[in-house]
Amino acid sequence: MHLLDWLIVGAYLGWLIRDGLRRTHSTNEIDGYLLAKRSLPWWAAGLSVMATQLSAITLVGTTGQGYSDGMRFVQFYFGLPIAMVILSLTVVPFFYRAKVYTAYEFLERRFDAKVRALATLLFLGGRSLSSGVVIAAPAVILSVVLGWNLSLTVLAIGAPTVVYTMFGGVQAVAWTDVKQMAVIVAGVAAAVVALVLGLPPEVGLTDSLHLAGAVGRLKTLDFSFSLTERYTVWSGTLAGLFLMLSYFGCDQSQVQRYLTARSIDESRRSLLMSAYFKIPLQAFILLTGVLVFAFYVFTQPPMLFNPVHQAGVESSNRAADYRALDRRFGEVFEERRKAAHAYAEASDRDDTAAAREARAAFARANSEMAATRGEAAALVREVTGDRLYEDVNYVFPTFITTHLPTGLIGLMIAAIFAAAMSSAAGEMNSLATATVIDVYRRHVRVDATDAHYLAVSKAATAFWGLVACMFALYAARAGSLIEVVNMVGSLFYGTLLGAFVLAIATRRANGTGTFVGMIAGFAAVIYSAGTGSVSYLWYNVVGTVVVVVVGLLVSAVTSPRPASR
Amino acid sequence: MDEPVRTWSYVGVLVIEALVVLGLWAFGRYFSA
Repeated sequence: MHLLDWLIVGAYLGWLIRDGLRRTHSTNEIDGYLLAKRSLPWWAAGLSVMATQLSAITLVGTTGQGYSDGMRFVQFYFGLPIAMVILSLTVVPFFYRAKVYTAYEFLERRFDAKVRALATLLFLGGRSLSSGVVIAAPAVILSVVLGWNLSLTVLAIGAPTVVYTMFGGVQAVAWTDVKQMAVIVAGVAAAVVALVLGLPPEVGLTDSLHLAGAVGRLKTLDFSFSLTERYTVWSGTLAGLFLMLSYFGCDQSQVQRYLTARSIDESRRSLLMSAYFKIPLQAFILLTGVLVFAFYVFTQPPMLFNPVHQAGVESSNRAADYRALDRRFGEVFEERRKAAHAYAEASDRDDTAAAREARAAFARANSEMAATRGEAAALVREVTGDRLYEDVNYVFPTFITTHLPTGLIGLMIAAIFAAAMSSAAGEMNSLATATVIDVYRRHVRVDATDAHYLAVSKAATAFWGLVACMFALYAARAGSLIEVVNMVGSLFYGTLLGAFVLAIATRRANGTGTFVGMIAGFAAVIYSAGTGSVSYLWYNVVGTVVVVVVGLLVSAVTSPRPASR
Repeated sequence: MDEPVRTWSYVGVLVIEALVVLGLWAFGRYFSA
């Protein structure tokens, strides 16, 4: 990396820490430290909600999806606007009027202490590991692509986040989130401009989009109905609705963002902001990935985007096979490039028949390139023993570091840092809040002073920050552990959502019924995940339905009958 | 901004997002044809 890029990344980190530490006013009381005294404007809370959701892996993974699979991943978010409307009308007024710090506090007011304890346990268990993963996953990618020291990269992301989150509390988290969103959007927009300018002038943007469309990269909607297909209109709208209801309604890392808003209506507006902008933003990030594909139509891409795995195969006894595949990949790339130019020339001449022929040749060559890449990936899996090998997340960082101009590389690396730090900060902050409010103040020291709880909150933030960094250091070196934790982290959502549905939508459910329902729901999700009978997006539907059904049945059995006259 | 969020805001966001999805579909269809 050039000195200017280093300076940009360094200036970004310095700016963020300074800004985070400046936000310590009103944080000398627990209400200010954990909820910003409910003083934030709707747009700041809304941007904080969006920044917490948009992790670094979302940023580089989504562009990678756009490159390899096209736009259809956007369907994953179709349930989000509906979820935001439902949450604005239901949980937001409940949480706000109950004046709770955490979502789980509300469960004790409605049911009893054991339901709150189980919900807190599920949240702490799932989120504690994922806060490490949101740091580890981008650190692994950046260290591989840029050749950085892995441990130092983890610490460069984790340490500043811990510092400003611990000292500045939720104010620092929210206001740095606002700036981080600005850096992310500016970085992606700059990358799009560079990509468009990087296309050959005789081809241009329109022809490139037609070529991407010819190989299905711009297909957005898939109406096929399959419980095992990940991204369809149905899974995105229905199963996605349950996921988004769970994430934004029951996960403290999100609930805490919108509880900082000035009023119920400002909280609602902060959620509606995501409802308006999430799908367009994700479509824009996916389109960036499609443009990376268009760019690599005219500039040869590496066959594999993970140079460490590539080097591993090249030094193994299958090196000759790999070289043969690489040669074939280069030859097919040339065929595809020529077909693309032929298409652009035919389009310029308005020669429809020649354009159609060139488009078909382009699609054929593209399929062969994809097949060759697939064979190379299979070779990597065989040689390295890494059965989960995928290099989709390496596509965008590889493009950034090898084809963007100096200065822009620094901005994009800062954007990846921003995405990782905003998510990690929200998680550390919410883990500390749940630990202090739902565990310490509830079970350990019930009647301490405000100053005492404030000190414990700062210590809890430091503790969870340290856990996140330590786990990130371990997970970064433990291969596919990151994928496993990501999967495990999504298992508890349906159970939590079921408990909140029983709390808000019914009067019949009681504490014992809800508690038993939650255990049954969690078991059902674990069973579904173990058998692989449905795609992971449907786990939340399974969990919620089982919790509600079992919860109501057990409540009916255990509720005392009204005394007869 | 302390005005209450009105019903039309909820309906409006769903209508606009439906139009966004329709726009994405039309965009993909135009360039895939």
